Amino acid sequence: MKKLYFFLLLITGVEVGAQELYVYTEPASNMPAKSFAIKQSAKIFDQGATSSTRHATELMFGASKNLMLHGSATYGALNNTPFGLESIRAYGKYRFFSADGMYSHFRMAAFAEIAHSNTKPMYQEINLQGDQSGDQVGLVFTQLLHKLAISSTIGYASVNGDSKAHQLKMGNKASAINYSLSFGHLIFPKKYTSYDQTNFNIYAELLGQSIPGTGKSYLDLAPSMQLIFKSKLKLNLAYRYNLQSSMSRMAQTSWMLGGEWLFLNAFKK
Amino acid sequence: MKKVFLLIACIWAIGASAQVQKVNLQASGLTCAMCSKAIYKAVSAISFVDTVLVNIEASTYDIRFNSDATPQFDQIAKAVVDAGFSVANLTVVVNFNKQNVDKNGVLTLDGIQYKIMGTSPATLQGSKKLQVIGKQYMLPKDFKKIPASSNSDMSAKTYLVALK
Repeated sequence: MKKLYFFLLLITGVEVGAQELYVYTEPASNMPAKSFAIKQSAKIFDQGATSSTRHATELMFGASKNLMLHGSATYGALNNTPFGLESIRAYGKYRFFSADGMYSHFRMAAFAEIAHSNTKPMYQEINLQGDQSGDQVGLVFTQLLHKLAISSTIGYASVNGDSKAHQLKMGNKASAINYSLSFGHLIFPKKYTSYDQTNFNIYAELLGQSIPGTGKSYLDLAPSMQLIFKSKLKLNLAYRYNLQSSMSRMAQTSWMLGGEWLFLNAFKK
Repeated sequence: MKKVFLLIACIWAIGASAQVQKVNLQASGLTCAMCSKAIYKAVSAISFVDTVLVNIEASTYDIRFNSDATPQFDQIAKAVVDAGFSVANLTVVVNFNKQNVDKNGVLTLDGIQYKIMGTSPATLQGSKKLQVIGKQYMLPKDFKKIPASSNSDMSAKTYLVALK
């Protein structure tokens, strides 16, 4: 039997630690090869007099050092429908550039996703995370600098089927540009001494969409906080609110509560 | 009487052979405990690895091996890369006992060949550190400082090392 010992030293003068484990967006870094994670989240949409909750279960898999794959489903009882499955989604991300320095890195990745939703299209916002059927391709750029991680995403999303018909009927276009700028910062611990320490991160994410040819757009700000227990269980709490919008959406403000469990080396060679 | 000779012969053989004591690994491209744990788990899962001692702050891993195993340094580097990060430094700590080094600076240890960069002594004695030189074993800025000529005529089975 393999003996595993930790010998943990404090190095003075080196303060390191950062997170790019954003709540709303994916960084260009991938999860380790052969690892597996499960994420459960609830989004609570504030719709004035009422609120709706959308649940999501997402399975994530590190296929190789550069490729990770997600499969997810959303379910709930939104817009006065009975509780049930709303949508399924597949997502893949390929890291194609990586420059690692001591306590820093810059990485780039390309992603593609495809979603199918059986909810009735109701809004102008193009949303592949439950509302509509369609696909998206895009790029992610992430820079890690000690305790700070900055990441930007740009994507081109198109809807199809009923979602597309609905958009066109409303005089809208069936494609949108999504973009984001995310900042993450490690607050605790000040010094790492063990994998059992609870980490505390704060994030601020700008999330925007623009529908070319229509002048319609929105921009949201989503501050969030994250606790990581024993270097494997993440708990996220986020609040997302609208800074500017010129399109109809499910909600102008929402909360998100989520948990994610990481299983390292879940699949042996 | 025969047994005693055999025992003495065994002790002598053990005493005379050089031993890879451990590898000091430093990983780059990470600053979070979750990332460090991914590397720790990946390295610990390698079949010839016995123990891994971690310093999360410094991103260093002190790796010791099963007594009957021959450590493969490329597999250690691969484990780090598969976890999503890079190797900043991989240094092998060896306890030498009058180890001969040939005129080309090459020595053989546990069936693995090492070529010492630059001038090297004809014999090595005591605990020495050999930093493995190569693109996959060091930071890009450190690798750039290595003269290209020192990398030439290296066979795939030989590790280029710097004696520290």
